[in-house]
Amino acid sequence: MKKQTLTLSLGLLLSSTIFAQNVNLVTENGKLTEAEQEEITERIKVKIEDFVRYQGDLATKSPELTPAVKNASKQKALDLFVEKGDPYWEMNPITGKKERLNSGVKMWIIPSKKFPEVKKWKLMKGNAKSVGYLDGLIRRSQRSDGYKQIVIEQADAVRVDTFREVAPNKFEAVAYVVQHFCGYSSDGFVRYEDYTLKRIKIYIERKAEITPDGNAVMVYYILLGDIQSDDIW
Amino acid sequence: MTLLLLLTVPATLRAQSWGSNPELNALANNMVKSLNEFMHRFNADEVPPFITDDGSGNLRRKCIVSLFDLEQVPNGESALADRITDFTATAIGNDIRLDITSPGLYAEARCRFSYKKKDIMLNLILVYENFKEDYWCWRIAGANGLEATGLDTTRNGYISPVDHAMSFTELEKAFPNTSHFRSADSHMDQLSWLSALAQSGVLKFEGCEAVVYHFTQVPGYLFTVSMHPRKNINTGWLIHDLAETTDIGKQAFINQLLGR
Repeated sequence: MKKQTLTLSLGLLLSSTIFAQNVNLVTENGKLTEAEQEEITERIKVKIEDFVRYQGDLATKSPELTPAVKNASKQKALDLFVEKGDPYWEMNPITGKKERLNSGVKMWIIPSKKFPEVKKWKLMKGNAKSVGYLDGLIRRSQRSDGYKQIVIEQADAVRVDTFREVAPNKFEAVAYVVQHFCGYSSDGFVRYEDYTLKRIKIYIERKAEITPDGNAVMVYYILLGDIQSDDIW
Repeated sequence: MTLLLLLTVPATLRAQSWGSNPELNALANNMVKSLNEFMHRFNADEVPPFITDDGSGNLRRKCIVSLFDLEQVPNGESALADRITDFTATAIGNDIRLDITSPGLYAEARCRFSYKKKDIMLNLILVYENFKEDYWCWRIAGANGLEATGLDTTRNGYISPVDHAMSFTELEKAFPNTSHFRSADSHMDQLSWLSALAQSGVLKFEGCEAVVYHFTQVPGYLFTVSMHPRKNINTGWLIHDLAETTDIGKQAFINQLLGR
């Protein structure tokens, strides 16, 4: 009970980015156990659900979601990503040194016949030179482009693949989600729909931390990275 | 204030749902979404939902057959179907299990480059490599398609048999097309050529357009896996090309793939 209370306290204090676990689950060689992978997969699913919900908030045309509410959702969405969408240094695990300054987490949009002008990469968070993907959703929601309602559905199954250790207690993986996007016109007809397979890079860091009561718990920090999208249909 | 506002907004306006569309769930479960999932199904470590184990011992065979792009098997065309049958029997008979860390897997990244202000497509071949302890990474093992940059490997260069006495004054002829003057024993691969062009700034990487995977582990066969996104049960990373070959033929394919 005491351990549960401590774990819950940690959960309340810290963001949904992390969760704590009994340190005894870690194997000797540092690899993630199956139990760890299963828990991390569930946490990743929650984070993806959160992102899709915030995406919907930004895309919806409902006037009840004011700019202030949308901006709050945008910030919560960015909190899910590496460096909250800001530029970050990529480390080379072979040399242990900084290798490249990444301009920030990106959303990959494959040009389709319907929208050939759509660029391939968009920064999740914009900068002085370009509008970010999330701001683009907000702008589009404010245009009268014929969508009365937007529905985004996700399949229940989220596959998380290839947990690979890239440095001591640092892991990378990829999550796969099948999504259905549908835009309805004011008279209720489907104006546009697509099915996509989204591939989301996942960064995991595992740290042993001491609670205020002196117990050791393993804390997992999980952040989302680039998102690629394949048109299925 | 924001929390109160969120509580008053009807849920329908958010229009999100997770897992409530049976058709979408089925599509996601049927689809071979990743290379990892492809290999697990090939090994029958994972079984797609549309395959049942009737206890007849055919589970792995069904799993492997389901990994083929069946739209390329025309109705009534038995040759490819027979080859699939024989390939499956060979893979199972030799207990071939696929793993990303095993040798014999080549990723071919079809990439767009800018060369002398023109867009060209070149292929980079990557292999999975262990660099220390249990740490792995992808590394570039070869390249092909460099003919688009003017690479010409015909050895028709000629330097006079007496030029050694003239301090090799004819060497000037060997530039810039040095590749024409290589000896029969010399080795020039397309990756070296690409590296030199990239280093000089003439060749610039623009992006990777597509990836396919070549597998050479099954005795007597080569096969290629590529992405076929469809809205039916035969969807995702599937075997599109299957070739019967000898060991010599396999090595020739690998050499050509690596641009050697």
